[in-house]
Amino acid sequence: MSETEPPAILTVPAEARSFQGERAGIVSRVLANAIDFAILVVVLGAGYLGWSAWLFLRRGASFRFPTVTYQGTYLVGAIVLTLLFAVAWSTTGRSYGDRILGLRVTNRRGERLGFAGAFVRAVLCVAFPPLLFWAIVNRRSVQDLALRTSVIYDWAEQPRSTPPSDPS
Amino acid sequence: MSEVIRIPIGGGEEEPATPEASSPPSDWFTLAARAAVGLVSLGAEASIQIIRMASGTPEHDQDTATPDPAALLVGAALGLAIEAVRTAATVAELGRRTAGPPASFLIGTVSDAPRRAAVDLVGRWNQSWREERPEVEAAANAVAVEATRRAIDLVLDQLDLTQLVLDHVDIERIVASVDLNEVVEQLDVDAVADRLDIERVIARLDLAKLSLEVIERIDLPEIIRTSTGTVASESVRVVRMQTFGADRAISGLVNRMLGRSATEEAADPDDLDATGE
Repeated sequence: MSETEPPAILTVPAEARSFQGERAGIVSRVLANAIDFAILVVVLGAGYLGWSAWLFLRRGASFRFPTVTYQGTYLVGAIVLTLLFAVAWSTTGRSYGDRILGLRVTNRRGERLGFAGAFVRAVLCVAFPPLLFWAIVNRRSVQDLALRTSVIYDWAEQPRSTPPSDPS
Repeated sequence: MSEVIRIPIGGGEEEPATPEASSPPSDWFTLAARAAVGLVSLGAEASIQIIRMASGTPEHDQDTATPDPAALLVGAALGLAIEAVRTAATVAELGRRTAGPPASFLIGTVSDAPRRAAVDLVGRWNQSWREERPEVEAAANAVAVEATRRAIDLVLDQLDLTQLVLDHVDIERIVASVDLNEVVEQLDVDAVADRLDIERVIARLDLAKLSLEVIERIDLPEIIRTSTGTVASESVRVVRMQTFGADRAISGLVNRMLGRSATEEAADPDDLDATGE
């Protein structure tokens, strides 16, 4: 499955070229998701601080930091993470965690997902995170099996199979 | 040259006695004399011209009122010669007409035997000439060829042929008419390449400038940027390789637990296929 045509100029280290295009294992995917989760926390914190700053400007002396509930945070976090995933997978094919770990999300033909597919996959991934661990068994999560997607090793900057260029 | 030239002998049997035929010999004689004098005149004039050119003397017009003394003397001598020849021809003609009939009668009656002997002698000479002719001609040819060759050498030594060609030959036209493709096809390029000193050619190249041009052409900075844009720094590469190793280890463990091989794990009906369905 790794026998795809090499790019014109390889920017992938020689020792990693042999497994480019293979499905990624559970460790890579968990680490990528952990990075994405950390980014989500940073984004939520920045959002909280921004919202607080807005309230401070509105209320002045009577300002108090807004209290957030667990449910509210979970809901907002889920929505933000879903949007982050959907946009990332449908544009570059990789979230920031995927980028760090050299992974890419593709459809069954090895191409980048469309926004609809990316959004559905993001919803499923955010709603049922534990289903990722099915990848221990055959390197595909339940979401992947359901949507016939894959997460592959792809260290190169450009996708292995070049989809139509997207200005976004 | 197969016909032998018969020289008419005065008073002989071959001498025509008719008055019409008696005048041509004197005309031929005069004509030949004039031609000879003319040739001598031409040669003398040419010699004078050459001597003048060689000595740098400015050329005078021959028809001017004050001719060159040398030309004057030569012209006078030639004119005298022509007059002498003409007078001699007239005297000879007169003598032949007056003394011809008695002399021929005397020769015909008295000296018949010597005449026959003379005819025989001339016949033998003619025969001898015919036998010797090929060798003589070959020798003459050899001498003529050698003389011509030396003369040409002398002329060529005085000429700058290269300059002459450059001045008068349209070299571009000649080159344009040459089919260079055909020449190149007949050329053994490998043999030429074997004789090339590549090291010297390379030594003449400005490799630094060439490298810069190549880098600019292939946009090496962009390649480096995209390469580093993958966050492929050393630490990230180590992390990626380690996680890949961990993935593989876990896969191997799971495969052993499930009792399947790596190929069975890869055998997925929904396998990645870049060609699609």
